[in-house]
Amino acid sequence: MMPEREEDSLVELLDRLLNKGLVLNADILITVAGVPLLGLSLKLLAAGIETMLEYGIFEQFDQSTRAWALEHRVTSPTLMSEEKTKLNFFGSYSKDQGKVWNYGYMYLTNLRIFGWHKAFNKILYEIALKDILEVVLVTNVHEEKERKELCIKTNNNNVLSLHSQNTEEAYSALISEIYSR
Amino acid sequence: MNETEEESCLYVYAILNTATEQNLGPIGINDNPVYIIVYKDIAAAVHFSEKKPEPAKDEQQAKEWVFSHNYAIDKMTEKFGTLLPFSFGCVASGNDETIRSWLQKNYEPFKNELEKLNGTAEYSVQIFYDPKILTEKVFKDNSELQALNAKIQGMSKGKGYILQKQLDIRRDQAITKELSKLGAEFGRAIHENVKEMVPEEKKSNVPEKFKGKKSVITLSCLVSNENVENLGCVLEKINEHEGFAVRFTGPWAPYSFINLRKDFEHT
Repeated sequence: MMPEREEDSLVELLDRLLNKGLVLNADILITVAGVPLLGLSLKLLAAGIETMLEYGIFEQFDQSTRAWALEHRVTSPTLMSEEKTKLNFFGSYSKDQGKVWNYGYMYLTNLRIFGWHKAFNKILYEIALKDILEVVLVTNVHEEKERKELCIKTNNNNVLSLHSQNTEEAYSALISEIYSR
Repeated sequence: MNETEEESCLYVYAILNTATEQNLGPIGINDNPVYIIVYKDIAAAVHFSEKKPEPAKDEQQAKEWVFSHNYAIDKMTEKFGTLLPFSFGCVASGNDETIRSWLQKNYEPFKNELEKLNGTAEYSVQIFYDPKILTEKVFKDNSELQALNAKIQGMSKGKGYILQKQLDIRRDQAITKELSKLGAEFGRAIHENVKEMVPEEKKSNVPEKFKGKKSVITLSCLVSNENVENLGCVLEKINEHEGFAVRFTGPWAPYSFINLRKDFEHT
């Protein structure tokens, strides 16, 4: 089998050219202009919708851009010892039954499920698996389209809703993780 | 500050091995002429740029820029061997002297990195599986699942529901187990033929050609030129495995393997 460089590898190219490679030292770099130069749609093509978060920050041509460009390669959240990632995916979550949705990387581990903001390396929410009372897959209407959402009810009566490209997969992974405890 | 704002800016493509100042012709973005700024035996490839380059006017143009950036990198790799590629859109403020003194300041790490990467290139290996075929295989090999399945068939829908859920979970667990077993086996075989490899954490897209399949893993591999064929053979074998498919792309400049952060960021 020989390696190929296919016509359709634009996506792959974008991933390499935009997310990897060198950036200059801060003292002479004036702009990492990847996103503003290319426009949003191509950047999104590169990474699904996950870089939407990053886009907002990338837009400014200033000090924070440089600092961010150098630091943005934090690629995963810090886990506890004994903790292992079982599934991670990009998606949206709502803490108020679907009124407000926010984006983030969702991590399912053997201990908890949590959302992580990559650009700021911040935990958005977290639920210990042992605190989960009920998990249901529901069909809701969102922006005039039907879609599957995952509702997680905890023992202090909070409900968290989750959605991703593949909500079913998240559902079955979460279920099997809870069962296997 | 104002002084530097008046100065010229340079769009940077790569750091490479050469001791000769030269023009590479209009191979840059928008046909900009790319030229080489040398310090000792390493150099930076650049073109003149505005301080805040105009954004692409449409997606077509943006795509062309990405392709031409990459084209320039390919051309330079042909001419100078393995190089250190920059991210798209890196613009430095200053003139040739600024770049030269920056090369001087970072000479050691750049040189080391160029030497380390010499004679290698980056390849991407994506392994896919067909969930249908794997499910069948798991069923065939697992009598417990078969028994459970037979039991459900004889039950009413309501009664069977809980068992069905159980079956689904056990089946998924069996698939996960099978995948991680084979994954480890494939990983070892690949690892023997590469210098370094990193798994891509991001869920990679499944190209049209592999529709209906799921991605097991995507690896970026740093491979010595003389080992590419061996790696190809290993991948061929994985590709022949029932229910699996491999996508092997490259060569790319070593985007995923430049390891300069330690030396580079604290200067």
